[in-house]
Amino acid sequence: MADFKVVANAIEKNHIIKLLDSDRRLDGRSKSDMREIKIETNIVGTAHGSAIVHLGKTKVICGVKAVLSAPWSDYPNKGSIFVGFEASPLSSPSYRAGPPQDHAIELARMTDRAIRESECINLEDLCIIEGEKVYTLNIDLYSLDDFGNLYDACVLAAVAALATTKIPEVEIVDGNVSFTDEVRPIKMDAYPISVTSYKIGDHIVTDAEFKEERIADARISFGTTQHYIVSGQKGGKGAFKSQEVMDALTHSIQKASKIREFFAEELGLDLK
Amino acid sequence: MTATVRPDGRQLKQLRELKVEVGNLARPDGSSQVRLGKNMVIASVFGPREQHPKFLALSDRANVKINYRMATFSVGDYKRSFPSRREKEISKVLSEAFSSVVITKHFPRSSIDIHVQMFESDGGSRTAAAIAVSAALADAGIPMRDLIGGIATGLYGDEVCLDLSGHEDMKGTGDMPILYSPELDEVSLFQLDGKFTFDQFKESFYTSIESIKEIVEVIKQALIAKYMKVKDEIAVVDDEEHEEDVQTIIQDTFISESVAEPTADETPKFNSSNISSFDPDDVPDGTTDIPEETVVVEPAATELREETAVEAVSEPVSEVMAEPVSEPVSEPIPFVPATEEAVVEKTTEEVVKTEPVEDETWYEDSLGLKPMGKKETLSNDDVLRDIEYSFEEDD
Repeated sequence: MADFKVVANAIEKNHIIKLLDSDRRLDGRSKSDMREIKIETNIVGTAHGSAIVHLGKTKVICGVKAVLSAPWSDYPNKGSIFVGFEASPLSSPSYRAGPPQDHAIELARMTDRAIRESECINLEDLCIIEGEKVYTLNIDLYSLDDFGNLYDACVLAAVAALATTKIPEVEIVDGNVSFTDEVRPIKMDAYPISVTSYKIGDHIVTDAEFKEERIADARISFGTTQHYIVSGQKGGKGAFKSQEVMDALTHSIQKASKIREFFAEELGLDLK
Repeated sequence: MTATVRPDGRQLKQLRELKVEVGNLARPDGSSQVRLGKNMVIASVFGPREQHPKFLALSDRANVKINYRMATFSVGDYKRSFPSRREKEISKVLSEAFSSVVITKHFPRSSIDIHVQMFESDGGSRTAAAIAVSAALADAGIPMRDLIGGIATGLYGDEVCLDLSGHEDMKGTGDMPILYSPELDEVSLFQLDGKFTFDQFKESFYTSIESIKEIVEVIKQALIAKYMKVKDEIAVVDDEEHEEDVQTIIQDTFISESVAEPTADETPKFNSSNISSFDPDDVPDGTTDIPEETVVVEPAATELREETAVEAVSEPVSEVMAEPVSEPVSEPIPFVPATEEAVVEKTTEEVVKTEPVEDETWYEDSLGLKPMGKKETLSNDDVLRDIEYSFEEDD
């Protein structure tokens, strides 16, 4: 009755939980450790900003492309941002080519919320002519290697790419707006970092790798900036006790501040 | 802390008016309508039924699939009819949330399909949708570990405000929808956007949890109200001194052995599956209002009660949470595993009576979509035995 996958998962889950009982994990980390983060920036010449982020073996590429567009009618003096994510079929045997699946949409929207709600980009800075022309930043992410926890890797990649984005200056001739060869960096006011905690049995672990992610009951991600909690999302078919949510949040905030420091050091940012 | 902070004059920790109605649609196995302030949402539940397409079927549990959609006229602008990214995301997180409370292990390889449609939305629409889904699932008799309630708390005018309206959500600086089960103390959906400090987060989180306890009470009252309505209908007939009608209704409704053909109008549709949580000692609560003439029915009813009581002991489903049962209900459980083995398992007399029907019709019968009390639907014994059988195989 039960097929192979169910049995295999049950065995694997049992094994992982037994390890966790003595605070050990498949790759030798402790429950609260993140995997090693590596950041490469300015990868793609055609994009205005780009980055590859490694989170252990997980790898995500992000490209930022600025285009000219009309502003939203309710925000005439604000530019706009748009975050897209493609679960590229080259990154995992379980992804298929075709229209975005639900999990890819969720990932894109989670990243979008972390970037947008943190107000890390000053949207008024992206306005060219009020009510007529603004910059739209298209922040597009592609997974390269899915070894678990794309959620945190995506936010890291997006922020790394934005921090190094240089948008072209514009010239206005007879009311026609066009790009010039000059570029300028965009102002970043905050650096949102996402940290995801996974629930496996009664254990809460940080930054699951893909075998752990596959058998995890539920996960909860928090995006935090230096001062605020800006995004959150619970996923997975299990549930968290209310105290577990609070614990995961506290842990996320602590981890995020360490990652942010590392990040600032790598990219030479000023955290204020 | 002033009450005037909020545009609609509510207190900071005050809910909008919440109205829940269950069983408002006839065709689905369970349905509900919820109004939370101006939000208007209708949910319907189909299943458990065969999973289509088949390759999505899970061999050890059921799929819970929620399809959240907004009507084109539900928002200020005209909404395009195809599903947006937002709708797809909400469908996904709601499906996952309800997967955590529905006892999916009881229905391997099947699918529980829930459709929830917003007709008017005004802030907190996903939590209003979740309340509707929760009520509809209970109405359909789907076994759940607990009811789920939901609410969004957010920041408006630097204050933590419960249950943000559409305007407050747009002008405010934070929004945090939560789904929570009070009995289990489990958070099954959590989303957050905006700028919360740690203290604001903590206040919002616990405010939501407290008010969800009230919301779940409202859902419970709505479920009880459905059965009270049935009781009243019987009482009305009694007033008009139609003793025979009363007897027919009671027989058709509560006693599966009944031979009489019930009419669609008079026969209320019951969906309760919660035979195991049914306490024989509590039964007179329902029967006391039934006129004296119906005492004739008593022996049969008692017999049934005893049967179900025995089942309750042997059946591990006993802590299953479902809608409150105020009447002695003994119609079939609304799910029958559609395995071939299950059919073979049945006693011959019933197999003979059952036409070799198409799968779908078979389901419809057992789900009580047709008037209940007919012999060709499975009896409780069969259903319970089948469930047990499937457990054994699982192990």
